[in-house]
Amino acid sequence: MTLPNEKSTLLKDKLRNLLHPSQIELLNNVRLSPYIHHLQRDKGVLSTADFGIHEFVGVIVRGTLGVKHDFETRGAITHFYQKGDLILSLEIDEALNRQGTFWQIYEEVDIVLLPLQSKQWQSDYPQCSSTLITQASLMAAYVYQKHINNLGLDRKSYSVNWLRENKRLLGLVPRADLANYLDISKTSLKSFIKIALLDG
Amino acid sequence: MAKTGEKVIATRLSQMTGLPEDTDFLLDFAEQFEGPIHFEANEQLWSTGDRVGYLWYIHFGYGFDRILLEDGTKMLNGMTEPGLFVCDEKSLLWGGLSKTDCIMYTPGTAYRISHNAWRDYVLNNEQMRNVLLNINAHFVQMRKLRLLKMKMMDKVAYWKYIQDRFPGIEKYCSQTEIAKYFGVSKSTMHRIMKSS
Repeated sequence: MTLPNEKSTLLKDKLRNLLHPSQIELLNNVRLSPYIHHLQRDKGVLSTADFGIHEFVGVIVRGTLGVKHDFETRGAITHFYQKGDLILSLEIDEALNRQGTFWQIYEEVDIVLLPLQSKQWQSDYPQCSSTLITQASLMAAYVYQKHINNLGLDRKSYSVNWLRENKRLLGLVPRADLANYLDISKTSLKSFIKIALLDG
Repeated sequence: MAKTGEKVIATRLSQMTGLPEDTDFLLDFAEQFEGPIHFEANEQLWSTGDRVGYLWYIHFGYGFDRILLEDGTKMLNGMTEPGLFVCDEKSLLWGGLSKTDCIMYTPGTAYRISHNAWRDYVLNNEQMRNVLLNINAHFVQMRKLRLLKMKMMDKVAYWKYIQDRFPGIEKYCSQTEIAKYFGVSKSTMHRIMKSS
């Protein structure tokens, strides 16, 4: 069980990592608890409408999400979020969501989030608020750059390492989604899972 | 008469946002850029390991930017072309050494603003910040599309599309760098190039 204070601390740590080193002190005296929201959801699809909040930055306290898209009527999954990961609503923002991106919950999630457009938050901490909005916006693009970079790595060694580090997901995520995420065939996935599990 | 640097950049921002070219805050932001800086073919705008990062605006010329991957190899990351704002995103976000480089393959002209100056300006100017956030929200969608194309698009069709957009790309980037851009092995890339 994670207590409310721990959740707030977890989010604050993630926000610290999001900020530029020269800006971290902006968070020093910030008390996040009056502004944060909690969301718990069982398996299924999660869109911005479920949050009722236009723009937010959050952290996964528990559970697993996959980020799914529609590419020319075919489904694709580009990444997962698990406990401790930072999530940004910009990637599923309905106003610009041309790729039909949504969050697929594979395992009941508990998310703690900070609404970046909250008037109260912006008025109480104007500098921290504008800094976080700017960094979150840059980060939303950079997240995808990281996944692009991963696809540039050798498929076999990347896949085996990833499977080794994410064994837990083998029992949660359908094989087709895992193969799509790793950009390999289901046959390769089967063989890479064997290697990952055999080698420990 | 040639446009001054701030007019060049303000015009481009006006095209991107629909705001009039003479909007005060667009002109003010554009004035923060240094330049024009001229480049010859094969000159680098920036290199991996640079300590000071800049956001560049490309006025003329074409080039490529490449990213250093965690396995120590380089991957073609994108094409640099007129009208583009380009930088090392990681150092824009968190400072530190650049993990990318950018080389021109034609002569070119660019303007630049240091990441620190950019950050100071954006954080202190709400109107410009809102404009940049809006531009970046579109950029997130473009980046997403790039990842999806890399994963889902027919590789031969994607290679033909890239060749049409950047004729002669294989003269300027190694086959390994291109293969990584497509998320395939070098031998698969060779087959794709042959079959097209």
